[in-house]
Amino acid sequence: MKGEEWLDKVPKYKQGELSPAEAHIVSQLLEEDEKFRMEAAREELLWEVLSEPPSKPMPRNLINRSVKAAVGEINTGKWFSLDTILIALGVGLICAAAAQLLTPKLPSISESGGFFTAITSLVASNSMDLIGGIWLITVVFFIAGVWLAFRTLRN
Amino acid sequence: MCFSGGPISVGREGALKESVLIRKAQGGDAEAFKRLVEMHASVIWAVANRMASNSTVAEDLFQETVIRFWRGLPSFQGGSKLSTWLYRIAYRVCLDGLQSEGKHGMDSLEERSEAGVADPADEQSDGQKIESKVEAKDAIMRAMSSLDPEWKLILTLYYWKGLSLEEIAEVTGRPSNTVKVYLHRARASMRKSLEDGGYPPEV
Repeated sequence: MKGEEWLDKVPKYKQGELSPAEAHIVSQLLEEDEKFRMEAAREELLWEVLSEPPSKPMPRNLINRSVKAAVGEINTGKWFSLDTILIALGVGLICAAAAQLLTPKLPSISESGGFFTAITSLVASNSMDLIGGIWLITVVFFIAGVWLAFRTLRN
Repeated sequence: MCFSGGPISVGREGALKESVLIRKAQGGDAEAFKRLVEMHASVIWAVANRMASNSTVAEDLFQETVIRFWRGLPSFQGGSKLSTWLYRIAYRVCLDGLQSEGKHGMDSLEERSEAGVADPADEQSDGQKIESKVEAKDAIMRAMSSLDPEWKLILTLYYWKGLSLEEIAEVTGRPSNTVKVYLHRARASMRKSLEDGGYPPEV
């Protein structure tokens, strides 16, 4: 590797950046050692070729595409993580339950032992309009709860 | 030593701007992240391009590097330069990508050396005489393409970016002495491929 160290000094020698003592050694090697001279020429060509930037230009949209893939992947991961889904569903259920407290047309809920019992008795009495109304409000509250939770978590 | 590779430092002002962007990106700012990618895109592209057999593979390597960059950004402590850290990611992505593709076989450098596999330059040498500089350049690129991926990356970092042995060691996670030996062998191998082609022509 000793020879390679001197090879590395050739460019500095050509630019006059070596100390006189080192410049003298490199000068002698180049003049008297044909093998060294050849290796120096090869090394110079290697630098010339390998220090050039790649000839293939970068596709114009590659940065945008890659950044989108990276950021999108993380956001999607965060958005659909198990924790996020569980929290959002929980909030949705709480909202749906709250909807029942706000529904004025179910006087019998507390008396009949709960929401599902009330629904069962309503189904049994064929009060389908009322059931539809209850479910509509419940579903709307559930969806709103899930959406709000997702939005809050995402931000 | 560096003939024409630019310095990897981005200057004090650039470093300040970069650290602000890093903080923002670590907080999830996609725009700041994009600016960081733009600042270092040429390097990632160059590494990917030198390593890949074609543009499609190079684009995949580039994209995977950016994805891993984003994933790892929150854990980036600033202990090393961002560029060095990015080289390391690109280095790993390229090695992983090329090994999984099996384009260069699964043999590690050590296995190749232990098995006594001939130098890539020897494998490449076809007795074709180099008679012009264009042919010499082609010979270099051919020899590069047959090199072990790790050697190729080390050569790219050394010649193109002008990284020191210590910086290359930081990127590759190899001891400086190992990098020194690999680099010596790779450079000797490349020079040999030129020598076998008769470069420089005798005057």
